[in-house]
Amino acid sequence: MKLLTYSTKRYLVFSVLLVVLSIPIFYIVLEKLFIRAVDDSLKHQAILLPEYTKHIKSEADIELWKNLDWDIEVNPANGIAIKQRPYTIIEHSKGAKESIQFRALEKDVRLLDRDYVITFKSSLIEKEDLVKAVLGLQIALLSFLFLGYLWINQYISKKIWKPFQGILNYLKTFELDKGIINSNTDLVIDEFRELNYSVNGLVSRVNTAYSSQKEFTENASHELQTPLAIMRVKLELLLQEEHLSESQSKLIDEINGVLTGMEQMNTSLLLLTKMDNQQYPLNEEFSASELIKEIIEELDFFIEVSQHHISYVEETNTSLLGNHQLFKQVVTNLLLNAIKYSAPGSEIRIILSSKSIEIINPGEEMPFKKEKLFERFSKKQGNSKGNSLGLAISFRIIKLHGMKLAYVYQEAHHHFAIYF
Amino acid sequence: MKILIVEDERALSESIVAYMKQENYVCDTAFDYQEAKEKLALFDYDCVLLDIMLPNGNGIDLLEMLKKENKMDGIIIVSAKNSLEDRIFSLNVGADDYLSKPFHLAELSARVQSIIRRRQLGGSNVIHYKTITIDMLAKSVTVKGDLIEITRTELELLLFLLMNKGKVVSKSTIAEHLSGQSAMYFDNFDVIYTHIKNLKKKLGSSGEYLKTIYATGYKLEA
Repeated sequence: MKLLTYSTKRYLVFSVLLVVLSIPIFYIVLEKLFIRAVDDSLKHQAILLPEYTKHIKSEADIELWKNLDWDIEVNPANGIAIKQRPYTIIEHSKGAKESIQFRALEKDVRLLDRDYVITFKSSLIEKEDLVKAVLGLQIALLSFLFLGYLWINQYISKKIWKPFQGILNYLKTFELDKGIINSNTDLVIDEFRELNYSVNGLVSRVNTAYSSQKEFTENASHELQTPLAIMRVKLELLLQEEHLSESQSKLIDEINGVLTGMEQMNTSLLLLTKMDNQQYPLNEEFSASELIKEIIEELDFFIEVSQHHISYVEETNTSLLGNHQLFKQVVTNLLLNAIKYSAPGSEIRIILSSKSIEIINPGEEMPFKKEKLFERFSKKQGNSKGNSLGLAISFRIIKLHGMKLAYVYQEAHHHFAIYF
Repeated sequence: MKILIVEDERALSESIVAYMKQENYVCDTAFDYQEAKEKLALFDYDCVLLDIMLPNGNGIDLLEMLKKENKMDGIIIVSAKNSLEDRIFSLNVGADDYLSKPFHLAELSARVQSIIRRRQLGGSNVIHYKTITIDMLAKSVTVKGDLIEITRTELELLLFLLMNKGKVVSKSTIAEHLSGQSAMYFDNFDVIYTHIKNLKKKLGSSGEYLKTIYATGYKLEA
């Protein structure tokens, strides 16, 4: 859920609640106020009563007064006690269907030696209208407030959240060794400025850690070269000893094998680190055709024995831009794999087109998932030799060149292709 | 033949000396820049093994110094850094060869020999070994006067073993020598075995000079 939707939903619920609760409260308060005002006016009339009554001299005067003043009822007292406080009466007039509410105040008075009860009345019909109007106004006000809130929020979210979106996009596409966020834009909101600052701090700390780790790997690999070199020459000297027994000789051979593996792994790690550190220039121009021919010739030494038939088809000679040494390593590795994982005597096809180099060889399907193929240290089971970094390195090299290394298994053939 | 080994790592230096002495080289050693500079100024060597990273100095400086003085010593640069730039730079400055650590002694020995052979005035391009004659220019091999048909790999293998004659050369050393860079992905020594078998067969009775040492390495009789 988006932040805006979230807050708007809450606000909507709150404002509906507010309206629903405020209407009865408002109604009650308003009614009370109105009735008090009416009561006050009735009391005022009652106080002014003696001013009227002193003019009454006869029964006829009383009748006239009754007829002239509609808001007053004059009735004989008949010994009934009067109500001291104002009260509400509901009258059903014959003409109108609706009933009308009145507020009434009774007052006793002595006229011409008789007790009368004077009832002052005031219609409450205006009250209904007033309450309706005020409520309508209130609802309209709340609606406008809500719409205004929505509009301001939409507008603000688009404008104010812009730097936040910028930071979010930066983090989404974050890659190690990438620069910090461009903080040229002055940020108005403190929180965002702080976020920007924190993200930049985090990124530079991560970058520092990453580069010192890379540096460490490179140094470690370099430092390992010398002891490895010493071990290797000592073993070679040991092999020259006269009267070596067969078992001793075998031991030396086994150590030699392990040592070679270690050297290769070290070389691979160094290669990967140097690639990470962009220590290989990628601006050499070379002919793909010549490169492939060169590799085929170099691998003669395998092919002579394995009797593979290499058929090289050149659709067009393509000139490539990149690192010759690295690129050669990839093609060599792919071709060696093709030789290794296909039966002796089978045909390996290399096709060079303007878009790709394809290497196709027959062979069994790999026992692991295709996605794992280019990962470090995944290997065919039962094949304990080789450090399985080959394809991972090839993948990295091709990626470094901005090209694509793809693999498919089709009709009992492995297809590896480098797309330029 | 006199060679100078400029290498600060004593263990490595000693091993190189031990191996080269068996091939009747007179070996001299220098462990730092100053010592190497003095020895190079005082004596003439047929071949100098030069480590790039030295205490108190850089091997490349020594190389430049030698070239300035028009010394005829053959030079092999040895470096822990296997970088193409270093290799190209060393060769441009005038080194005869470049070897990256770790290397095989057999490989080093072969390189030293080929440099010395190339540099010897009037050095013949024909190598004789017992009943075998190798013509380096024609890339041909004759056994007891008969020309035999030999593949490029087999010739390379024969030459390598010949340059290390009397020594046991392990399969991995041969593999690395023959496959160069691609040895990185090399994990099957049956290929070497097959090449040796084929070579032996082609050499006929002279193939007996080529001995298999407990299936771990090979040796060409001294």
